[in-house]
Amino acid sequence: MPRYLLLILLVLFSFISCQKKQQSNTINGTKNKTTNATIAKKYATVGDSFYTEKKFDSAYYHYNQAKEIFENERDTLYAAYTLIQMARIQQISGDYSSSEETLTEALPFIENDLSYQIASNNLFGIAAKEMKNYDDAIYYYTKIYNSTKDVVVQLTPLNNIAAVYIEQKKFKDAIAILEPLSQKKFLDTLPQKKAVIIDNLGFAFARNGDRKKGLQLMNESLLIRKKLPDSYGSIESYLHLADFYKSINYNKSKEYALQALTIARFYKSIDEQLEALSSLMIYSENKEKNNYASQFLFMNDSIKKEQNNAKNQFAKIKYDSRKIELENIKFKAERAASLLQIERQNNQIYLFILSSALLVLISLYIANYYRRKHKKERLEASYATETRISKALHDELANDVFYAMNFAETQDLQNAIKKESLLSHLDKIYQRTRNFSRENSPIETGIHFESELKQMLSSYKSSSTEVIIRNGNPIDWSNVSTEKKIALQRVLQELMVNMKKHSQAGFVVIGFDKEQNLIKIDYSDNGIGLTEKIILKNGLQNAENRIRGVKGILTFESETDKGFRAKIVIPK
Amino acid sequence: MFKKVLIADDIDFNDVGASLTLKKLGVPEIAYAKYCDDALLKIKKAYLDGNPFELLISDLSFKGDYQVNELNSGEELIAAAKLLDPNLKIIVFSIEDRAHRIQLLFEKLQVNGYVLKGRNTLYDLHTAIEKAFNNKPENISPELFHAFQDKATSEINNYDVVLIKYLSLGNSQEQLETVFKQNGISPNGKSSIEKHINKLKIYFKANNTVHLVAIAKDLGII
Repeated sequence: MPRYLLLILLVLFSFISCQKKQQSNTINGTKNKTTNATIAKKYATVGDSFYTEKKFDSAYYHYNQAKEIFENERDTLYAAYTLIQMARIQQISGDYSSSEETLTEALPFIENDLSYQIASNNLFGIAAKEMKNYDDAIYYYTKIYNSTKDVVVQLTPLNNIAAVYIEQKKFKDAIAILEPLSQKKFLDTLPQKKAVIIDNLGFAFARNGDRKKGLQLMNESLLIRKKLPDSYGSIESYLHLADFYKSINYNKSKEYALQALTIARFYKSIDEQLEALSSLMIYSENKEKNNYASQFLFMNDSIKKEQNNAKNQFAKIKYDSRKIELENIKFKAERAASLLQIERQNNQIYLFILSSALLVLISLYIANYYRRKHKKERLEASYATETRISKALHDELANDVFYAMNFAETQDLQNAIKKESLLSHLDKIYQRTRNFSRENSPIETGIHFESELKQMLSSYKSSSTEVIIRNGNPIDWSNVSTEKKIALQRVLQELMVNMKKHSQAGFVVIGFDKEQNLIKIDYSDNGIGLTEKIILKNGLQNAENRIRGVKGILTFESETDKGFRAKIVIPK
Repeated sequence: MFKKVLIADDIDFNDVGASLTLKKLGVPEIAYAKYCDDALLKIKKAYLDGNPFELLISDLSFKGDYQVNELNSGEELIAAAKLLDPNLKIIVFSIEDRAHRIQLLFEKLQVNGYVLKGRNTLYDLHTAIEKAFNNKPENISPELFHAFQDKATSEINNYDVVLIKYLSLGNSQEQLETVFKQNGISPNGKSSIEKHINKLKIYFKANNTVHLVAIAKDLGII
């Protein structure tokens, strides 16, 4: 029973250990997820702070790092945010086509978020406008306009559309949008926006021929901006005024252009600087003009260079992180593969341990089974011997002793003849006891086995029975196990006892022979033979069991009046 | 006659017969021991006292006892006693009648006599003691004389079987010599063939070779 218990424990143990592992795996999983998200958020925050410090390349790097993680973690809103910020940075450095790509990347993440949709459409519009895809720009701005009912929010897209029209020299269309907008009451609370709108409106009027109205509006805008102060916005006003005066008043135009250039330089706003320089370049005197022209060219070149650098840098950052990502994926795949392999190996080990434990248990069980069986057989054999002895004692001795007692009680033992009769009777009993003892005495299994065995056989010699031993190929008895010797001795003895009792044989021949690894012993007599029934009755069945017990075979062969033969074959 | 004799036997009544015999023979000092250890102790003491036993009459088999004995059989006692005093004469007095075991006693332990317990024990013992005293050989009960004889067992071997086989094929005893020579069977001398056939005739109680072959065939020897 404890063995089965052990087996159950073993199975349970392996089961539990498997489960435990699974649990720890899932815990690790969630843990990884949360730690990853935290890291990504940190990256985004760092990106934000670089962005406000105008360190755009560092900001871009951190946003990109954050984005990769968010994408992996399927955190759509954060991924959208980082992508939009990246597109914004790309636009600041003038890389509009890349920013379009980045924004396209963000599209799947912002399907359900209006504010992000507005932001991305706005950036799309700017990019389109800057790349002179005016129709696209208007399309995006209109999209923003349509996506909201909030008039304040609608201001920016409308103004942007108008700006595109101005760019396209569709001044009337621009005026048609801006004029109703400029009269809205709520604009008074948003002076910055109002300044932008009326500045653009004024510029459109002026270009459209209504110069007086245009100038008035532009000046109004400049005034608001100076008051705010919105010096960055005032650059636009100065540029517009410079443009306005370029054909009428050279000095005024130059003055405004210079103002715009100064402020733009302060803000390091390149596009505006360029615009101002190009105005100055057209109207300045030769010497001055050359100066501005060379400045323009230098700046334009350096801008191009910077833009290219930025473009390359951003592309590199993106590429590197993509590469890292790919490597990560590859590494993960390898790790998964090796984990799988380890798991498999573990499983194999478990399987191996389990199966070998099972094997051990089974073999223990089998060994035990055979030991028990063997023990049982031995017990049965010894029980059979005991009953045989008991029966013999009863049949052969008890009766004789009873007779002797009876004789002693009833006869006059003073009589010498009677005394002698009793004594000889007792002597018979004594001799029989002695024979009996000899038949069941311990067997010499050492070096004297063979001679003792032959002595035993010869002791059945009598005047009427000749016992002949036939020696074939010599048997090396020292190599024969003790159990086999005992079995042989007992069985041969049994055969001899049987012979003496029942066979009336004149000759008995016992042949010892060896063939390869088999010991062959033949018994044959010329007696009356034994029937099957007598064989069983005479305990020869017991002899058969003994020989089988040492993996041998005992066969009988008997015919009435033709003697009795037995063959014993035992592996050496 | 012996002056001092020790009888080692675990059954009281057996001592009586032995001591009766010894008294008849005029042995003045008889001692008894029921256990081998006890017997050896007595032998040792007498030996050390300068008055050793001259004869030990010992059984071979002793009953077990509540006390743990160093020596548990007559053989062990005899071996120990002989080692202590090589001059001590020993007669074994037992129901053991297996020739092999008795031969061993004479060969290995140099006992001076063997008496089989039986109907004639007292007479046999008397003779044995006298023989031992006079250093007579083959001092053994008459029933066991065969123990000293090689002819105790009748054994035949492959040569004998071949011999009968050739006889059964119709060869006469005289022809066998040449046939054996032709077939490289040895010994093939006339006299040795004759000797073997005579032995077989005795073993099988055969009146002639034909009779011998018939019996051998019946017994499945050939």
